[in-house]
Amino acid sequence: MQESWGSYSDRVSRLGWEAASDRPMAWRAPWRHLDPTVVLAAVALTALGLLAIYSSTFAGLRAQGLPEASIMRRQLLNLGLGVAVMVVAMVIDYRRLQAWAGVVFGAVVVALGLVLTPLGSATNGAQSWFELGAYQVQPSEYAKIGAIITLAAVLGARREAPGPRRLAAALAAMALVCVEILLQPDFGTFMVFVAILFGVLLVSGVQLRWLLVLALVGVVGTVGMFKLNVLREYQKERLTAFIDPGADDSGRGFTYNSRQALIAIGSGGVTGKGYLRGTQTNLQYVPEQKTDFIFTVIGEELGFTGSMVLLLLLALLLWRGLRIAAVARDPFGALLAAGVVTMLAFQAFVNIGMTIGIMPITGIPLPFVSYGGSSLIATFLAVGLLENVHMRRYL
Amino acid sequence: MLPPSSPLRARLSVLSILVLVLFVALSSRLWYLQVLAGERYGDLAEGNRVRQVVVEAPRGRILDAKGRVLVRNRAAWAVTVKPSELGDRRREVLGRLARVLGTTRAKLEARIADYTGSPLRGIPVAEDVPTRQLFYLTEHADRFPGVAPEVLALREYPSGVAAAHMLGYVGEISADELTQKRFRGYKAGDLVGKAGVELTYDRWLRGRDGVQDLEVNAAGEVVQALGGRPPAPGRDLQLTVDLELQQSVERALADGMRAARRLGDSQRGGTYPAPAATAVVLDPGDGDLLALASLPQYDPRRFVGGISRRDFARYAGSPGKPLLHRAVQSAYPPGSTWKPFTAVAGLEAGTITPTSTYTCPGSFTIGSYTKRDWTPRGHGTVALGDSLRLSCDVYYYNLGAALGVAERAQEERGQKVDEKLQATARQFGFGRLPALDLPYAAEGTVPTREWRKRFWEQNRKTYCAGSSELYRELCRDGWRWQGGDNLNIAIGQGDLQVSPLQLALGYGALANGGTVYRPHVGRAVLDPATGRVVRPVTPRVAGVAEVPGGALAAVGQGLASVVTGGTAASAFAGFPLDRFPVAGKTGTADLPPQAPFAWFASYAPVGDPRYVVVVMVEQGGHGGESAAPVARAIYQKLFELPVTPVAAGADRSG
Repeated sequence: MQESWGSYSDRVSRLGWEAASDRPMAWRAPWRHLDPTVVLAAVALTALGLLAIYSSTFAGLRAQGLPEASIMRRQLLNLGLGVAVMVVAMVIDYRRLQAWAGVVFGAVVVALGLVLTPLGSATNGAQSWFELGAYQVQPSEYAKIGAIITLAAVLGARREAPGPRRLAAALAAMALVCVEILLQPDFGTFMVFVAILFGVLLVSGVQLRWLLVLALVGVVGTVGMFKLNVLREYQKERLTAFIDPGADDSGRGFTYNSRQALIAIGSGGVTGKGYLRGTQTNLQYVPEQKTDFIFTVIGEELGFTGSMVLLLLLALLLWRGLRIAAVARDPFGALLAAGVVTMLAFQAFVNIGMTIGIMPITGIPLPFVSYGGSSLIATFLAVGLLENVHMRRYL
Repeated sequence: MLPPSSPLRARLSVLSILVLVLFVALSSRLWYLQVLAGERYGDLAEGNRVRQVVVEAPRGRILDAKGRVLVRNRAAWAVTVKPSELGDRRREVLGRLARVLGTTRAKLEARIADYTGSPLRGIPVAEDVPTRQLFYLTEHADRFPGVAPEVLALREYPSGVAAAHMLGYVGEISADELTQKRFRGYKAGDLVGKAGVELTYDRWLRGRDGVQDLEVNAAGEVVQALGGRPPAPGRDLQLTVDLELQQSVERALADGMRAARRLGDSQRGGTYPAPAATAVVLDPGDGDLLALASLPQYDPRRFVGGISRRDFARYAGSPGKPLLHRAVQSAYPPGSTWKPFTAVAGLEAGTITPTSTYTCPGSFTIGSYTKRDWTPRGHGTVALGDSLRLSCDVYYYNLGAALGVAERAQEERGQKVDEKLQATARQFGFGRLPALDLPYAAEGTVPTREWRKRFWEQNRKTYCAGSSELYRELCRDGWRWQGGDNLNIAIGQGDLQVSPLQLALGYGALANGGTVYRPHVGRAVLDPATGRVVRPVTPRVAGVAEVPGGALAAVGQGLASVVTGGTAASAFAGFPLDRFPVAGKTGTADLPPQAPFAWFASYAPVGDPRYVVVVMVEQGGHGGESAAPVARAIYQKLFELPVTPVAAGADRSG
């Protein structure tokens, strides 16, 4: 197996880049190898999100006497910024990131540390924002990408599968970041980090028993967090409400949110109630709808059909992402792509899963679709990295 | 590019499979939610969105015969309090509310304690609250938990207390009533008629509540009205009663009671107490009740919006029993007003003829038993006409005894006893529930041999447990129909009991040739919008007394002479009897130890009777002195004559 990696580099070292390939040099220009499917799927998902954001906000804005499209327009601006960030992320050769991974990791640790100081701001009980003028920046969203880069750099540094030392280094780095996240506390994002770690470790070729040990530690750690009061009361309630929906049905509890989300999606039926016609949506029965519960708008107004379109777009993007990981020219690129795919898949599953009652309620946004600048820009940054790996697979 | 055999590729396949599993999980769950269970969730969403609000249907009005409004509705802004929502802030909130309403906390607490309605509803503590105060309460709702302004549809009585018993009142349906067949389809909290025509015509008056569908958002705010079913207002009810006549009758009765209270009671000393009185004015041609009065009466306005415990206790405990509708719901011995029916029975049986006579000394002896006439002087030899005119008791003792002899003979022969007195009474509608559109009518009692036996069996234990001579006799012989029983019935005493309404129906049959109508106070159910008749109350015959025409004519002549030259002559002195001839009979019913009950039963004009008037003054003395003058005033009103003040008549006959 090592042979084939070796034989390719041997060819390069013997014949030079030009000759190692069968094709002319110009063919290797990165932009020619852009995967349009990924970008189109990302933009289509965001467009679907824009429609849903408008639907969930226009009535409330009208009631307040504000322009009905103002929140949607903000998201449109976020999309513009996201696309710009994506382009920048595509331009810079991803392999240079491998060298800068330490700096990236440092930046992540510092940013997540600063947000805990009085410089950061709190919402919903989590110290997770920086107020930058009119803009709010959520460093944990970008930290996910930073973590992917760090993990891919550490675990994909060499062609052979990572041994105990690199594994230990990766775990230590993630542990530091996770502690910072839990101090906010943001349990949802913490879970995303754990998922990313698991996904990248899986693909990196770490021995399966290590993975099993890690999974065991994870389970013990979760139980321990319950016992040692690391979790806030409301987080425990959310998790237990999911396990036992009857436990809290006193009106506005977590099962209220979950119940209203279920009613919205279920009542959409096969074809939905029609765009802007969702009663659960228009009458504001679903809380936090434009962010965490954005999927309920699509489920209610566009029905099973709309839900499937969204799922297929996501699946298309993830399939391309997995393909990109497979065709990456080096382990770093492959792990980078695998990390991005894991992150997007996990977030999509947990987010949609919580609106349809198969996952506990956690504040994880639906990639591309949920309203929120940091989330959207960071997601497009991830798409940029994905494309970057694809574009430079022959270089 | 990673080679196909790279371990990363294998691991990527694992990741791909994991992602695929997640997507399959999401899709299948969505399939279940949106395709399989979509309908159920659709219903839930609709239930979220739409709230149904009951729109109360306005209750129908009650009009008099000429279309005057007796009862109508009025929307009043009230402030209601739900004590359960006050919690530990009760003192504070009620104190604050009292300041806003300009009352005291103690008074509000008293209103809450007095409330007898449904615990689900807010308790009205103030009605007709000015808008300014309502606005204040609405604006500061957070400082007044459990307090809410509410529109109450209240009954209003433009004519005051007139005809209160007949109209009745409304109140919240009771748990007991909800189980009754009559109230099937009603729900807790509904207002229903509790008495009078409000009760008997409730189905027509109440209408049907509407439903308003409202779209509400998550905050419970109404976004828009979605339609629903508008309320169907209750129908109006027109009565046969004329308000002016009714008021006039009530006035005459009140005057008559006052006059009776000035009369000396020679037997008991002092004056007659006359605590109550009642009058019936009936059209003998169709059973229309033109006036129906019972004094004392209650004030229906006190029942509006729920009567307070204190008021109800006062009414229920009052010795005058103002809640009792005496004209319909009470039965009394009719006294001498009964004699025409005894005479008819005698004529029918052939025991007497219009010209046959009895000697009328001051007393009558049957076996060891002596009954006295009301006057010890006696009346000499009298025929049927004079027996009525002078109200000779002995004439009827003779008649009753003669019928008794025939009955005894039947008994001895083992034949079925025909009980002629009772049979005639039943033909004229006595001893039977009158099919009337007012509730709780009295059946009265026409005692027969069978009734006597049944009564004895029921009370045997009491009799036989007693030690007195009378009880021992009753224990032994109480079941037996005795000679004295026929004598008692013949003069309208003993166990015989009739309601004033039944007596009026009987006199109506005497006047119209024997037809007993079903009496009614309802004339028609009207559409409230157009006034069109939705359902007329048609006159119906309850029964026909098959009496030879000659008998009724003879009795009628006698009754006419009562007014022109008999026991009621002094009461009708000065009344234009030539133009409006009145036929009637006075009665003085003994119910010891009470003072006698004064009766006057009559019809007019003779020849073409249009009105039956029955008056009874409880413990008012003699019929001629206390009841006939009231009837005279009623006739003055009926014939559009100037109504002269009610003065006691001079006649003290029985």
